[in-house]
Amino acid sequence: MLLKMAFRNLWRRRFRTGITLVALGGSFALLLFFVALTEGSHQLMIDLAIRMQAGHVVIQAPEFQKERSLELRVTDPEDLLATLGPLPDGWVVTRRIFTTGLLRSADGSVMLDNLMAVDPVNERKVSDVGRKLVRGAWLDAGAPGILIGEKAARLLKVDVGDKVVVSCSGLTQKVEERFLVAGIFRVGGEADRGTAMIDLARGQVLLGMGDAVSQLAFFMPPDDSFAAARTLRSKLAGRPVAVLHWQEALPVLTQLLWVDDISMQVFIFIILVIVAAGILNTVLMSVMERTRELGILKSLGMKPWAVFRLVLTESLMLGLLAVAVGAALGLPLVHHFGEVGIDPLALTGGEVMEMEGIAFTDRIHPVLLAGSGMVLTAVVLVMTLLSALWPALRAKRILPVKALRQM
Amino acid sequence: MESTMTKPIVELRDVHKEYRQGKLEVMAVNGVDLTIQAGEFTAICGPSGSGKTTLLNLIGCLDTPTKGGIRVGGEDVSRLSDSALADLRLRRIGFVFQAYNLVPVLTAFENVELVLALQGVPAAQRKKRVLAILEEVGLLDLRDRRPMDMSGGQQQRVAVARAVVADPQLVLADEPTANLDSHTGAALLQMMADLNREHQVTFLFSTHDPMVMDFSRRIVRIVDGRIASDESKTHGAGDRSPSGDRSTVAEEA
Repeated sequence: MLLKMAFRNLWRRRFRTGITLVALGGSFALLLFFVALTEGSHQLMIDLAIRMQAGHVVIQAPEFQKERSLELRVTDPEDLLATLGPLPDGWVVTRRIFTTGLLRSADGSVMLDNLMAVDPVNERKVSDVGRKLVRGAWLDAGAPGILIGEKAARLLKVDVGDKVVVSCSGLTQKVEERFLVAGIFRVGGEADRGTAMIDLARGQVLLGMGDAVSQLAFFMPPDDSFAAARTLRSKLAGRPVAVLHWQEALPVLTQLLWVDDISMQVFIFIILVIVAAGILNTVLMSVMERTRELGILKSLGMKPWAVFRLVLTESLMLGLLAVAVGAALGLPLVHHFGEVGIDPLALTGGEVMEMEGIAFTDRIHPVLLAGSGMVLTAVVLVMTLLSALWPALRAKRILPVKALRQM
Repeated sequence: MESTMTKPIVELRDVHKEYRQGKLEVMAVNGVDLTIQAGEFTAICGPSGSGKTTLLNLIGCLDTPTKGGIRVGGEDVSRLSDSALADLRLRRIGFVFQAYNLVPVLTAFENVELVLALQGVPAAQRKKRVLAILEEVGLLDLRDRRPMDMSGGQQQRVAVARAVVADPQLVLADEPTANLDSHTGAALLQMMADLNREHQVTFLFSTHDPMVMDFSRRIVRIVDGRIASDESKTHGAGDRSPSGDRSTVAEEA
């Protein structure tokens, strides 16, 4: 009976309830979409940053995180890998050397702030550069090939097959070597000018590193990363290396994601305050309009807490309907953009967002995690109940004798 | 019938009710002693502002006295909590209001059922009792209508059905005919008189309608918050009417 009354009361003012539902449902849809967009952009940022700069878990010299110098190296990578034993299915490990240098051609030179010598087989499986070659091909093991960015190629006026010279500091002395441009990539931003990749074996010889590398980067299903970091750490205890989860290896990204999460929470809070104000207004109006009627219910013998429950039930129904409307509007939106993606340039007004040399030019695919959807739904419903508390208490306190005097 | 007539349903002893209106203190009820026995059909009458509605509200446990004692069904109500008063109203008192005061979102059936639902009566039992009382007040065919689709007289009959469905010890009716034309009012009063006679439902009216006084067997006149007179008759207008007339008159309402 209480439910029947609550449901019918909700539809007494169809227009008002309708407007409230559209407003609340719209806000909920907006929340779902922005939470999904944030999640999608975070996944993209993490993915790109991990591919270019780290792995889900990395092994490197303890001080390498502070100073990316050739001296700070992993001297015995193969021995370390042997200690770890066979890797689980779905894992990839790639060996990398990071340094800086100068790239020259007959027509000019560019500074390389990220010259990478990479294991051509495994890096190919994970690298973003490999997916974004605009001309040429990926590195061949042992070949004197180099992958350079599109901007660098333009500045140096070189194309695939042309010669370029790499000058840099090796472990003990300055070194210089000729390479042939194997491929030209476009990943967006500064990386297209300042990043270049050569074959690991050639790099090790050129730089005088022996078997040493700067980093062993492990790739795996993202959910396994924390457990993997713990396992690797325990297996390599006592060895002079640091095992870092990507959140430790990429502190700037981690911090950026954290700040972004905070901004998202502030945004959610603001939307929820608007939602709460909408519900408060609707429920309070409805209670005030029905003072006499609620007084009659009390004079007939409805207990004060039952009147309180009636008003809360009406609000909860409003909240549930708003969530349903919001889901009906928001989920197809998330699904559609999840499929086609959103151009990040459209979000930033044409400006390429870049962080630590990684440009975020890929399309963002909003992702709504089941957990986020459930938490949002719960938060909206709790907010609905909280904002209806005051009107419900007012209704509970209505004095029948005063209410009956109202016309 | 005779034995129930001696059992007091309502007892008021030196009851006062004082209101504050701005800076003025108004003594709406000023030292009233009154006893209502089970099975009475009584009208409290008096001019506007005489305190009759306040008195009815006090008896109906909708308001509390400033001074004095009130017993309903033998229970002292002056120290009961809001919740206990609600429970007492639910189980012992039925209300009929001047403006019908049905719940607009509920049908005639549901309005009558509401009191039983609040009492926790099981659905099957509720249905049986509601259908029986709706038949008695001649509204079985209109059971699925909402108040806005019924005439004033029909709404007031639903209100009477709601008031009596749970077999209360007392039905309080505040100016029940005030919004009805005289013919409809008479039919309604006849219906209540029949319920009083056939089911021993105790009715207490507040009114200044001469027709209600005509139907009542006891008339308590109240002036300036005090009882000015208390007269009893052997018969009310409803008693003289043949019982077979009731349904016919009710249908006209």
